[in-house]
Amino acid sequence: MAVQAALAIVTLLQGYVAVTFLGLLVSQLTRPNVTVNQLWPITAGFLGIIFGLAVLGYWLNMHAQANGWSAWFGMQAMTNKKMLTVTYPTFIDPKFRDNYAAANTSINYSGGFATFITEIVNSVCGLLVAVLLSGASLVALFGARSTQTTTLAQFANSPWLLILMLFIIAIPVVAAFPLAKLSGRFTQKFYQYNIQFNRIGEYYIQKVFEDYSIGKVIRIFDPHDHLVHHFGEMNRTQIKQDNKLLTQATAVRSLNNIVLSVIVGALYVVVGIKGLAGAISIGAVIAYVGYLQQVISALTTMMDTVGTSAATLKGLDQFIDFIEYPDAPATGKLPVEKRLDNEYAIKVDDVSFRYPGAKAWSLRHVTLDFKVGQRLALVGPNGSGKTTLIKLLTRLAEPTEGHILLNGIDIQKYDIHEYQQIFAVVFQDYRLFAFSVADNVAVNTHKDPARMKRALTLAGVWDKVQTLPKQADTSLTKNIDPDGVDISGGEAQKIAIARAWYKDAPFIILDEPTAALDPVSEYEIYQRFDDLMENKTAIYVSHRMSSTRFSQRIVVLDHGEIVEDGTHESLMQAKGLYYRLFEAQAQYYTSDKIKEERKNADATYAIS
Amino acid sequence: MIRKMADKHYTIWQNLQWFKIQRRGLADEVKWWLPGILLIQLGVTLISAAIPAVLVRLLGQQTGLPTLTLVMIGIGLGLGCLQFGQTVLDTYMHNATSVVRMEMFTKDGADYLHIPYVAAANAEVRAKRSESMNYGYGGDNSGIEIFYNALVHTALNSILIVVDALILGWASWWITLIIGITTVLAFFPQQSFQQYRRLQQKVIEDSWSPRTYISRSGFREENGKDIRLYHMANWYQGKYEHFVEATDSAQMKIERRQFWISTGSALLTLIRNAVGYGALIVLMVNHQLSISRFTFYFTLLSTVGATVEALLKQYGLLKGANTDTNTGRRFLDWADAVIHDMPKGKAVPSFDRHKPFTVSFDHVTFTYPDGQVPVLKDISLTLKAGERVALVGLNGAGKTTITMLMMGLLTPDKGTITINGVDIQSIPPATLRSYFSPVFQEGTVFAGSVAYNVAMTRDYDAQRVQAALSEVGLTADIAKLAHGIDTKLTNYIQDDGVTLSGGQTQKLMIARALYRNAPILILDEPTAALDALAESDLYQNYQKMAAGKTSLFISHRLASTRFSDRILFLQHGQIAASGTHAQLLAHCPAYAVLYHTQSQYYSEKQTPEEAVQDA
Repeated sequence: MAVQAALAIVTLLQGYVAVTFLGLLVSQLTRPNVTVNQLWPITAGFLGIIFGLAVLGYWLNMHAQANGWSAWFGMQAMTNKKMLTVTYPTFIDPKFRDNYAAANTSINYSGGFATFITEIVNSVCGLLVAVLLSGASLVALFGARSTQTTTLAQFANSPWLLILMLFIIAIPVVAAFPLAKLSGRFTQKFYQYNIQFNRIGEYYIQKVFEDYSIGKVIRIFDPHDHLVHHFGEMNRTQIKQDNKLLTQATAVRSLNNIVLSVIVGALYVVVGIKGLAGAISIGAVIAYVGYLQQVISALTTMMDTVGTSAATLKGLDQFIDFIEYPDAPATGKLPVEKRLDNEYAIKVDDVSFRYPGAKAWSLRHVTLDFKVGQRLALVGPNGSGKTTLIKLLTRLAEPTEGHILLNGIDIQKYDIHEYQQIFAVVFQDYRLFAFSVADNVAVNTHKDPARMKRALTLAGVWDKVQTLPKQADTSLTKNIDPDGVDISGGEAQKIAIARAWYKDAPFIILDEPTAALDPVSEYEIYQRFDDLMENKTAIYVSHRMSSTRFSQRIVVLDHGEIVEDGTHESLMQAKGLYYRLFEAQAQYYTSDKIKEERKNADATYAIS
Repeated sequence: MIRKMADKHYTIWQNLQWFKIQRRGLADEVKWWLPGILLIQLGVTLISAAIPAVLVRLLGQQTGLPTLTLVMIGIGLGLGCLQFGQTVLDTYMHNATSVVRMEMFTKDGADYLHIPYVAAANAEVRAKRSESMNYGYGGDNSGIEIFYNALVHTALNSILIVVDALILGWASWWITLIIGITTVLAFFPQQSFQQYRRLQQKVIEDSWSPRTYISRSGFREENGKDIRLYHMANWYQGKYEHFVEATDSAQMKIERRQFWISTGSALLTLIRNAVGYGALIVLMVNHQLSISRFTFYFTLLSTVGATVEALLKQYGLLKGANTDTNTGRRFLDWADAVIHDMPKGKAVPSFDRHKPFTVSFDHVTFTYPDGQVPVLKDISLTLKAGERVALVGLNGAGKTTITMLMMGLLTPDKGTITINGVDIQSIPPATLRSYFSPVFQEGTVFAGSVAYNVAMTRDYDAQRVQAALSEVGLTADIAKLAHGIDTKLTNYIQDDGVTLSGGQTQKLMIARALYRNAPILILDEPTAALDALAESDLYQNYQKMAAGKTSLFISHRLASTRFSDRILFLQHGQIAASGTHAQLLAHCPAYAVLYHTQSQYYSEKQTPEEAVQDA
């Protein structure tokens, strides 16, 4: 703030010094019999002052810029942090996501707080200094009286000249308000247009033309480049429209230049009247007009700031709205009891859930309790609510009705951070990041190498990791590290499983962990279950009905309701949905066993 | 082999010629930029310097008030209009040149889709391409965006300095000389400063891309769950702030260096002004100048400092932009050359598209460019017309690679692939691709309507779209959406775009293949996201889908093999066995193990442990 104010004052002073210098020189030079020697001191003095002010200005500017950058980066970091730390329901709320995009755009375009503060401080300080300095010179100007007796001289001596001048100064000030408002409106229109323009551009450039596996689909299904042509045309039309809006906004903002320039001409006339009347010297005329010019330009800057501040302020509002975006559900404060015996009991009590804005229930009246150390399989057709139930358990979503209890207490009452610590989940759409394997497993700055090794070994990927260029310190993908490597889907899935084990949570949830694996890898994972699970409570979701064989208890969901609950044997006997699901897959394997015996005898051997 | 991307050092002149070719027909008006801005700027400079001089003259001549008013307001109006024109012209023209940069996105995208797929998937090509984009045409500070702007302003300011120096030479040649000397001197520190700045800017660019990666991937909806449940926020934000600090400190270094450079140029301005003002004062004192001309020269000389500074800044930008443009052109030029060298195919074969095709591999070997060992070794196989073939094998056995070779996305190192006896190398690529209806492993949904996603064109047949949707069992799901088949999918560019579930996406991908109705159908793991009932439905439907076509079914679910005429078992890059399920079970032990591993869990009589022991 202080730096900005000082910078504003120094910048303004530079203008005053230059004008005063020229005025003084002209006054001296128009005196008769002036010699060069008389002028050296003034010239040297002024050149020195101008140089000093310039260097001071650069120095202040360096600090102002540094402050500006830091503030700007700070805002970006704040936005990023907020986006990372809100709870999941807020994170996926479309309104929150829009706010994030708007906040980012406003930071990028308006330059954020720093620019805004610089503008305000500059214009206010500039105006204050200009009014003070020019006010003093005005007193001097109107104090200078003409001794001539012409009408012009009388007018020059009368207060009417002062009134005329104030009137002239008022014109650009008055004109600046509507012009700045209008310009703000155009600027806003331009920003608005740009948000969607950028979004479309980003989709194509960052996604469609970036991901080669999407490129594969386009190569086959769109061999005649319809998509590229569509993008090209849209791009051309949009940039033209964008240019039109920006030029309009600039033109409107620059209109004030014309008004201002005419006003300066008029001021020359007013001061010239004093000169013509002989009240002041020619050198003084130049100096006075210079001073007045400074006031006018300070005023215009002020007006411009006020006008465009509507757009800037709106941008800042968007940033503040985002930073203050309410994130209600994370209110619980209760610590979770650390139990070495892992005696955690969870009870789902008549829970129903509906996604915000959806009409249909995703879960309806679900009641379920988990016994410690139990292995539970969650089964059901696509869209039956399995993943939703897991989101509720892990507090990625909150039940619309009913409660979930941990050791008898509503889970919403616990501190969310502590509560989530008791779950390790591998989602079907698990995610790894472009950092090292070790980073991805520990997801923490502190890493335990022994535990890391055991996690990767249990997940069956330790040997593979050893073959990487920098072992566990090898980065995944080249997104950040040019020496990073691409790994297969199966390997990535195993690293995700290692990450879950590393977390050492009493509950482990595996959501379709073997979808991308071949039968042998799938078998390996199944084999390691005992080691992976240890004495933990495990929940297993899979379309591979085979996996239910590892579970002591099977819960079947359909259309958001629990339709069956029992062991594999009891459910097969019940001949309900579970039976149908199991048979749908098993028929191709079991009935085969019989046929296989029969056909073995007369099978022909064939290798091509 | 993928051709290397060479670094070429085009001069500013060469890049200007290139730029002119790129802008043709898109931003032709840009050629008027320099003459236009030069005229305006000359007017502004001279009139600004003339105002005080004219005033001094008028007052000296004791001119009447009406003339004074008319002249001063007239000049003011003229100057105002010129300044207005200058701002508007600059804004307009700068943005007009942006069209050229934006066009590079289209070219870059098209190039990326036209270069060989194996090159597009290559990590090094991708890294180099992203470098080309970042420096060359990616943003508001990229080379192609700045190049022409900086060139125009370098030329403009050079001409202005020459004109200023010549006009001032009228008063005294000493002034011309000192302007020349100080301007040349100013360039010396500038050279090293620009180098230093580029160095720091590289640090900034280098941390920009991970920073963007972190914030983008943190914001991706599908990443939200893991980041929260594993409490990654602090770790992740730490990574982000690390790069922010790197950027901030590099920026600070530039600012500090800038201060010293500016101080240096202030010193040169001091020297110039001391000599120039001194000369003018001496002339004035010796009565060789009128007071109005003195005022004019004095004011004009005062503006030279700012013009020199602008010249230095623009020249620095131009040099940087030229280097960045070269980086940008590296990928674009490379892609042009690579695309030029690609086989274009000979004639379009006159196959009857309504009859199934025969596909043959004859001793085909294939190695990925960065792989040491071949993925496929000397493979020979034939998919007979109308045959339904299942392709089975472990992860990484090369199943997907076979399909990519077939479609011409990859080219074999050795051996030939034929369709109906014609070598696919001789078939134009677009024609070859039109023979296939593939369902890829990953579901790819585009930001467009359901119908667009099925037909992959905006010009679709609604009835056929509906038919394809009904065949995969999506009719009811789509009917529930707000606008049926016109509902927009994904929220990439539309807030109200619908996101489909994994199962729905997989069905949509099959519908896309069915709509295309090509002679060869390829299904690569189409059931991974489907539940047991939907999986079973797909198997039942497969007969109908594959009717009248040659088809290839890849799946880890060995049940799928039951619906195929023949099974190819792929192991270690070779076909280990071919035959029916029963034949393979009897005679191919590796296949039998695979099958038993999977089927044991469905066995009624055994416990899993027993089944495992059996296998």
